[in-house]
Amino acid sequence: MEYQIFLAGVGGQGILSVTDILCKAAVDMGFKVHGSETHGMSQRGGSVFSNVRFGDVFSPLIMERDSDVLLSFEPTEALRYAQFVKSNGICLINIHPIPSPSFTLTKSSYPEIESIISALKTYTPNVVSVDATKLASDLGMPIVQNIVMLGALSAVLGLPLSIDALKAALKKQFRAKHYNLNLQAFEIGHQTYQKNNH
Amino acid sequence: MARIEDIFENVSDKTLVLLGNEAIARGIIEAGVAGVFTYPGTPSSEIPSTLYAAQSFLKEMGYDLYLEWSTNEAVALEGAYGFSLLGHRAIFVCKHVGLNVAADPFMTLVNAGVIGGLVLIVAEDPHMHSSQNEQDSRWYTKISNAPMFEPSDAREAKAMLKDAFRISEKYQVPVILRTVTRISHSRADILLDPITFPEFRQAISLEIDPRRFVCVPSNARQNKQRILRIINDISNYLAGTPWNRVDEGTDETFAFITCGSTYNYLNEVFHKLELSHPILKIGLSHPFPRSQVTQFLRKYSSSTIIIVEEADDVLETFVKKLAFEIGFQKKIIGRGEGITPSYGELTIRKVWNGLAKVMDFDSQPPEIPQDQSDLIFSRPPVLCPGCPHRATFYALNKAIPRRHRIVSTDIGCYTLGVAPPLSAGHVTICMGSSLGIGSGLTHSPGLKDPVVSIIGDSTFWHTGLPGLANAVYNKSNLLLLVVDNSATAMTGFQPNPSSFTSHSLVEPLTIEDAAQGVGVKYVAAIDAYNPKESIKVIKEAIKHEGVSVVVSKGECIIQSTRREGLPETTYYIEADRCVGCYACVNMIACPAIIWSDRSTTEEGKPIPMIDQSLCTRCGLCAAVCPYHVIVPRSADEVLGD
Repeated sequence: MEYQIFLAGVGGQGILSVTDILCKAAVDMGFKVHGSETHGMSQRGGSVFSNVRFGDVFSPLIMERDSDVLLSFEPTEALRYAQFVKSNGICLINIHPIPSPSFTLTKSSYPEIESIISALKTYTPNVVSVDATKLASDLGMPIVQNIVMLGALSAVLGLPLSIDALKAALKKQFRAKHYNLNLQAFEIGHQTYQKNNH
Repeated sequence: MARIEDIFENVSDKTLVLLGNEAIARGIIEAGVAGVFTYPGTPSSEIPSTLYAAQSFLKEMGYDLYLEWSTNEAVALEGAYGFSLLGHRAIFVCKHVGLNVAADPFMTLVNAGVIGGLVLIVAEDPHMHSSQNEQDSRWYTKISNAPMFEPSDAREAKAMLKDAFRISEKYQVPVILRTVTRISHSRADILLDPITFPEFRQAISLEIDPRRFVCVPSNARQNKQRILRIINDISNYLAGTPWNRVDEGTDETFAFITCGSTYNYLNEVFHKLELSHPILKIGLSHPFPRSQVTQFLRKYSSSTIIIVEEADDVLETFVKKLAFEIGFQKKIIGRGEGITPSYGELTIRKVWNGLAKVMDFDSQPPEIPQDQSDLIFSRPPVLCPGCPHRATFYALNKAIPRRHRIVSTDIGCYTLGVAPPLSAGHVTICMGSSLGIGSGLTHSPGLKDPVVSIIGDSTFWHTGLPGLANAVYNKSNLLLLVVDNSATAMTGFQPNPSSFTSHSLVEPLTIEDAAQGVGVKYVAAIDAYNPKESIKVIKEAIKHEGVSVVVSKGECIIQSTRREGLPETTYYIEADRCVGCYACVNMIACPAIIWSDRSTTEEGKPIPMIDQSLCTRCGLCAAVCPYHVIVPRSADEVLGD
């Protein structure tokens, strides 16, 4: 068995934190884990990705067209890395757009979310959008959108990581005073995915 | 990231998920190292940073670790050598180009050898994710004779580190451990082994034999013979090392030789395609394992040999040379036969494509659909919202027009300022090059425009100082703009001599004092966030004959907000008064200034707005707006809107 999650987004969105939680949950469940991530160059605002692979895996990198899930924290970043998702894989995106200076300098409007989604559908029919930043803002902390997305991922059918293992890893990741908020974010993400896809 | 108390817990037989560099940091403590000397550089930085964060935890445990943020790699390696001379285990950590800086001491101290074990951890960056070049450190073993370990992953890196010390002490020679981005920045389950506490022997200065360690010609000649003898001894030892091993395979039509992280890509392709061929995996690559490779070639004398390796064709060169010497008859396929590209990092797909080509099988990796590139915009690394460098470069652009100057910049976050619209840089080569190149430009015949060199605080201390003394001494007519953000920010906020976060060993050094000390007559300090004043000072400084130094002070915004949080006053664009001149967009390109999808001017022009989730409330945009429609406001009020 092998399972692979490709995470994409913008520097500062907490991608490495989610990567770490996924790896911890996988190890707790007895899987061999190997992943890889982007560091350096841009503390904030650059395009970043990380790879989580567990089971019978050797390489730290995911091959194009081979990831079970593409988990993107930003819509156009999903498109940038869409070639990594399997043709029957799941593309799970936070639809909150984040422009960049190169975009602001050259274009006056962000691409329509609908056209991004239909472009993503040329890679896999299973595109699931979550308004994670909105859901996180409703909790009073837009920054926990990453954990809302993790919660959504936890509801994906066939994910070999149990809810209990993910929650245990979540607990290890955050200090006590931040844990409840993150747990709430996780639950909301989980419920949103279930509501929209079952 | 894992917690310090977990990474360095004094237990064994426990498994943790660790970043490759965290695993190596743990390995350093498992090996009983007494001193770590480094200058930060991606992808190596988390090794010392993890140990730095753990220092007081380790001390409580009774582990006294000396960790030095040296000013550059040459002094770092020399410092580590000092530890070794008194019999202590020492580590030197750098990124690949750091070994160039340390190459001078390195080339000679290999010959003189060590007393306490000395391991150099060199982290390479194939594909140049965060580097100015892609260079293969393995060539350094061929010109220096230093032994090298090449782990394939973080687990091996941690285990090899301990063997590297054993070899270093047994043969009294420094040893290199080579890692790459995909090992250092990998994440995997790592088994912890017991911690070894360093043994501090009595002073053994009598063992520092000047006939060996004073490298004057007569001694150096002895040392050259010494290292050749040692390399020969290690070669004999290598014959039995399990780090160079053969994985058996059922199909002997092809037999593989590989090393380092490539081993994993190869295994992945074998796994996917259900291939089974013998693999000789080289883990201790220098001295070249002649006897093991010979054995392998003899055993598979009727197989086609395939060599797969990342970066240069180092292994291939030496295997092919040996094959010629021993009269190997079959084909040997490698980079020369086009198996993989000769640049960038390897991936599963590249290795799969390469094997399909040279082994002539049909199975290809799945096709990639066409890019939807018209919807994707580039998102290169940028200066963060609120970055003091943005404010400094805005002032520079106002003081000296972009078309009438030559800017020689340097290595650090501020290199990102070369992108439009700030366009603060024509040339960057390596750490400290801003001054040497800048100085050369000023003496070049035909120069009409003023020359500005830009350097950061950490880079100034790294290799800027000799260049500054050179510019003064040679009467260069240049302006040195030091962008002092009080941090080595790009690599993760390590301290440097003038940062006030430095580990309070001494009063922070000041760049102004240093400049005056080497004879600069015009030295001024400016507040990066006061562009009006900065413009005035830069204009004055550029008129000065000779070298002028302007130190622009503004703490890295990430570092300061982490410590103090955001100010309560934020900034807001009053949309009804905005005329749509776009000075804020076109002059500073702050990531927090975005297009509003709601408001337009009376003529229907889109109006920019400030994304409060990104804004760090520095106020530069308010200083830039010629119509004063960007105004301070209480954050509560704005966020409540």
